[in-house]
Parts: sequence; C-alpha cells; structure tokens
Amino acid sequence: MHEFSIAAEIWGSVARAAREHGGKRVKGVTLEIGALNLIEEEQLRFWLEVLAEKDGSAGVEVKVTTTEGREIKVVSAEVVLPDPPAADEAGERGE
Amino acid sequence: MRLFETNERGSVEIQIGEDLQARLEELAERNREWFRRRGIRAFDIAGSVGAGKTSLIAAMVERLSGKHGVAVIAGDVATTYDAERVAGKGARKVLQINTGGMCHLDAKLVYRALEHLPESGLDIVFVENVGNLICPSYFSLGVEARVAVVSASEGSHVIAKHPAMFQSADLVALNKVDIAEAVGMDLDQPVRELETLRPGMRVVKTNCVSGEGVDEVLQALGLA
Repeated sequence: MHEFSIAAEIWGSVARAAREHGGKRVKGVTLEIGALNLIEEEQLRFWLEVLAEKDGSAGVEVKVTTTEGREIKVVSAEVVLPDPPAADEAGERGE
Repeated sequence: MRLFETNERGSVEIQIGEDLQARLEELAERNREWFRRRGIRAFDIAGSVGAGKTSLIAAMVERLSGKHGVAVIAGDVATTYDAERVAGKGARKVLQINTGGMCHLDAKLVYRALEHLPESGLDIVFVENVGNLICPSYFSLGVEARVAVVSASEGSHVIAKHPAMFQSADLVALNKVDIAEAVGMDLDQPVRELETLRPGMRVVKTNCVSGEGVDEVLQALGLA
C-alpha cells in the first residue's frame, strides 16, 4: 500500500520538473527502482496513472527499470511543451 | 532561453535524476537534527494493528513521566482513540496525527507534528506508527531507534513473514505473552526466526497490561 505515497513523491518530482520547463503535459516517466524497496510495480504504475490523469496528463507512459539497490530514481520525464509562437507573431513582437 | 529539440512524438525528454530515497533520508535527517538540538531522545514504536503499541507506550510513559518530560505523537488513519488512551499517563504533550488513509507515518508528517510540541521541558518523544507491519519499514522517521511490537496472536512465524520490518527495527517487544498458550503460539519460534534474520538483536517478552517486561524494554532503550 505504500506504493501510493511513493507514487505521490514521484509525481511531485515529475510535475515540478515539467513546470520548471514550461511543459503543458507529461507523456512519459522513466524510473529506476531498487528491488530492496519491495515496491509492487503494477500498483505503482496504477497510482502514477491516477495522479497523472488528475493533473491533466492522462495516458502517461511509465517505464520502470529494476535495479539492485534501494534507490527510487526519477530519471527523466517526457514533456509536451507549448506550441512556439507563429513566425509572423514572433516577428510582430520583435523576436 | 531554453532550446529543446522536439521528438517525433511532439515532446521533449527532460532529465531529472532525482533519487527520492535520498530526499526521504534528508527529511528524516531534518527530524534527527530537530531532536538533537533540543536534547530529545525519540523512538518509533511500530507494529500491526492490535499488537500493543499504545499499551506499551502508555506503560512506558507512566514509568518515565516522574523523571522525564515525555511527549507522544500517535499516528493513525483516523480517530484520536490512541492519543486519548495515552493522555492521563503523565505525558507533557500527546498529539494525534491522522494520516487520512496513508498506511504509515513518514518524516514529513512527523516534522509537522514536531512544530506543535512545547519548545522546552521535553527529553523523550515516542512516535506511534500506523498499525501496519509492512509499509512503515520503508520510511525512516529520523528517530534514535525503532521498536517493533508483535503479539502472540499474530502467529509463530510473524517475524519470518515480515522481514523488512525486522530489518529496520532495533528492538522487538514480543507482547501478550500471557495469551500465547491459549492461541497456540510457540514463543521461542519468533525468537529463533529473529536470530536468523538479525543475529544478536534483542527480544523482550512483554505483557503491557500487567507491566511484565516494560522495565526491560526501557532498559534496552537506555531509558531506565
């Protein structure tokens, strides 16, 4: 059952990184989870999907690599960035 | 300005590289530092629902409160029953944390409670974890030691079945020894299993209702 709180910590880290980069939606998350954490992967995926959906990132793809240690590493996130301004729009603003 | 190359899926890959275990350990260290600065010795009392965590804490508080400033932080999913049971035993402060569904306490929740403790006059804090023999094992609270409480009614193999808890504990209180015969528990079996899992780790047989073994627990924690 502790998978929910781990998922919440992971999603917090991912959402923060996405925000910092101006991302509008998260498409994928890559994790490395140490086997010693005895985390049930299917439950972790389920909770991450629920949290992502609530945060406007429904359908997030979760990739998990199992390692030997105790780490719970958020390796990277695949993020959709906002569309860049159209060329003429940017020109009008002197960009 | 940041430049990213969008892939064929219309997205970019952001490297994060954050180890959450390391962050959880930092939060536990913040609690350790909080206790250290105030000269407080803190203990996590963990175990299943009904193992006798609250009874053990109540018995310890009763024995310590004459000479020490003791506070108790009781964690439960809901209700304040545990805090009410401990109140009146002489603790200077009893706080209840309701996790609202979370199956364990973590360092963040404990830190929030610490802010409500008196600034002075305390030297011992007992933190009662949520009744669960699995999930609390993975979350360090930043205390000096963890006492795992198991009771005779949990079966002879309770220790072998829950290795993570006993890997993370520093002392085991084998409680309700008075009912062992009635429930058919061989009290030596968990002791043997612990010896295999954690050679040399101490087990104290207790009956927290009569008070048997409670002084021994205090002694083992260096509180007697």
